[in-house]
Amino acid sequence: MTIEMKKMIGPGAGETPRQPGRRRLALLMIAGLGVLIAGATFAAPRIPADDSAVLEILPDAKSLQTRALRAAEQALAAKPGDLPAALAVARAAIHQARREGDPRWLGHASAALAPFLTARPGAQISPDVRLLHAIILQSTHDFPASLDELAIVLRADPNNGQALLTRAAIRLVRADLAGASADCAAFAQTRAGLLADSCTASVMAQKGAAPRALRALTLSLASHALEAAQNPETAAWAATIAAETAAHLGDTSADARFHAALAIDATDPYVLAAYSDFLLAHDRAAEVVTLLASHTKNDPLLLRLTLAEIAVRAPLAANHIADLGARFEASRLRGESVHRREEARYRLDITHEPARALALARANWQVQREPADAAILLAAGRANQDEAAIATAHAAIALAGWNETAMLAGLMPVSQGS
Amino acid sequence: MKRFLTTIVFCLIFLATPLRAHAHSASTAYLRLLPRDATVAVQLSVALRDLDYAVGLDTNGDGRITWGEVRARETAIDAYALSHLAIAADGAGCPPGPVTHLTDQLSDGAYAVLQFNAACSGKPHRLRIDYSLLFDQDTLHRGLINIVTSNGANHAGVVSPTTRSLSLDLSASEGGAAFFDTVESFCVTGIDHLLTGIDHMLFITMLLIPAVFVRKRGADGRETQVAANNFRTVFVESLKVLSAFTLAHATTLTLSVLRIVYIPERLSESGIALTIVLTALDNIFHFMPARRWPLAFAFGLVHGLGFASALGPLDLPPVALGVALVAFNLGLEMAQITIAAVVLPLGFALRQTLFYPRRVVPGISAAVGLLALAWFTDRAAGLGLMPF
Repeated sequence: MTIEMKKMIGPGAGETPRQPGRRRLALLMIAGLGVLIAGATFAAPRIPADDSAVLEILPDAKSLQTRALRAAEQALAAKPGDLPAALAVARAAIHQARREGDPRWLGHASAALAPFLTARPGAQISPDVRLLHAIILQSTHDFPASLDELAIVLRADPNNGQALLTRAAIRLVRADLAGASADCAAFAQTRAGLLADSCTASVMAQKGAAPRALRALTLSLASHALEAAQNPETAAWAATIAAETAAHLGDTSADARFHAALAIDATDPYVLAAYSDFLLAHDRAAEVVTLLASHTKNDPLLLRLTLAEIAVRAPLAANHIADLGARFEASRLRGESVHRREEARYRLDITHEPARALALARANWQVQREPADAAILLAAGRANQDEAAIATAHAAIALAGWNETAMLAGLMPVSQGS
Repeated sequence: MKRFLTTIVFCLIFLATPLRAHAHSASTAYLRLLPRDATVAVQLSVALRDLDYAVGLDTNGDGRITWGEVRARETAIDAYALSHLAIAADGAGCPPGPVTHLTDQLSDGAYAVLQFNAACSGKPHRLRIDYSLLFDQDTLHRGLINIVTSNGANHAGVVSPTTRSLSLDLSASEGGAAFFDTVESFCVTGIDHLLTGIDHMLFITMLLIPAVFVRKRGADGRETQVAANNFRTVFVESLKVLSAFTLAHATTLTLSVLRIVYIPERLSESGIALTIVLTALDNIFHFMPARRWPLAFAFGLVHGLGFASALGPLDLPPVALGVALVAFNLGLEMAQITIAAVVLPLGFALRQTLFYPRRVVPGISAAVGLLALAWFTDRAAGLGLMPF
């Protein structure tokens, strides 16, 4: 067969006037086809062509903390049944879960403690085990079970600082402001300083005394510089509460305060979420897109990134909407309730399913009652014209003296408990 | 028209996104079981991050897990997975066969995918899964189990540290709707095969691209092509091409499934690559007859052999086999029409521009031709270098 070159001809001159924008449209369509092919090809399991293909990058693999956790787990594997080794694993894993915002480390901590959580005849469960177990339960939002464990720990040791702070955080989440206040006060009796002041200020800020809370924290940050330098996590927490309170008050220092918190730890998931809420409320979505671009594995951060991408009409929004939907679905299949507030916001503002949003906001309200929980309940209630939900939210807002406008804009401090 | 096309583009993006599988940032593994007679096809997907903890994958400790590192640990992965996962039918264990290792990218990271067949002593009535992967290292780990029976019925379940086994009565799910379930299941298999088999998709695209032009032989004997006047011409031409293709692949598909003809996979797969090379070349150089449908028929015979290997040997009673084959072909046909619905309006809208026939058609054809040439070399020589 001979291959003959033949000339291809286009339309004759003047046959059709060239339309501007056609080329762009064509490129768009070709890009669309590319997306389809890529989606179809990479959705299915595949065998990579090359042994050197990097499939996964382990986050933070070389950091001291990650290596310490590995070493602790190896030590425990070598000495199963050794309580100090198990406690070391649990502490390192809880620490790692806070740093990365990855719940799998809580599962690691819980696995290390599991053999010591069932009392053997004649032996008590160690209070250290109970305390760490309570922190894990708090992090997975099993608040009643966590409070039970904390009650046992505090009965034996009423001045246990970690137990008091953990209980304060849970009580704050559940809008038990008097109880939270008492825990912070008990903590301050033995350990006055930035940590105690942060605890008290976080309660004051939700009690309708935000200006006083902000003044107190500003003073405390200035007078406890040494404690802040020695405990970056405490410093970051204090700076975040100050930033959120300033944002809620419309104080111009809010932005600088968030930057101060991020300067201590630029990857703290809690600070990133709070600052993103601040930026979204001030029509600065483009900055959120930059800030959170590399934090897609954390669900609450992915939600904020997606909201920002929708606001600036970024091309990745469609993918992230689908990712979030898939993660909430997996979470539902797993029987989890950790991110119901986030899912309610997703259903309300992104997929526009107000009825599902209200059901989630109501279920969430049964578990946690922070300003942000009241805000989503109120917003979902209004979208469904559900008087009961609106009344419940209004009652909570009136009781605490929250600023409803700031609250609905997402500018309310939330505790570390969620 | 413009609005209509924009709509298509949007549909495309949304079609592509739901294909991404479920994932959550807490540790989750996905177990999919397909019971077929005495065999249960098993697919287990475990996050590489979790496997790294369980068996150690990042052997050089650089924080990056490569495919080579996964492959080097295949034995350890199999030993770990198969000692923590047991499948039993009616009280008797179904021992696992050889494991194929793959990988998948889900929304929360990369997963190791293990595929194997578990051989039961008979067709299972009651299936039991015992699962204990990763529970000793992570109490928040969950296994999401999905069982798809031969009639297409779907059963989902979760295993956790407190509930480590799942039982399912398969006979209960096989009821009167079995006929339609078979139709649906094979239809979906057909659609899936065409849309995820990028080679078939590219072939259909190559076949259809020139349908918006009409080739004419001028007085000087030189062949030229002009844009079609109306959509009807395009539609009729495409209909002929697709029908010829379908008729041909249905024929060889049936012959192979009935085992009347047998062609080694290596031969049929390289044949498919060759048909793409030739069709792509013809889009650029026009060396084959202007009428496309005989070409589509001839090449369709080759593609049917490829479809047969996707369907595998079917031990079904004659009526069910007929239904399955018709449904599979219908599925393929629907997928082809979907591709046509993308390629044709696109080409039709752009047929009178200069750049579509001069740049886009030869450009895409050349790219596809080169890719197919690589496939051909890879498949004919049995190198196994190409990813799909």
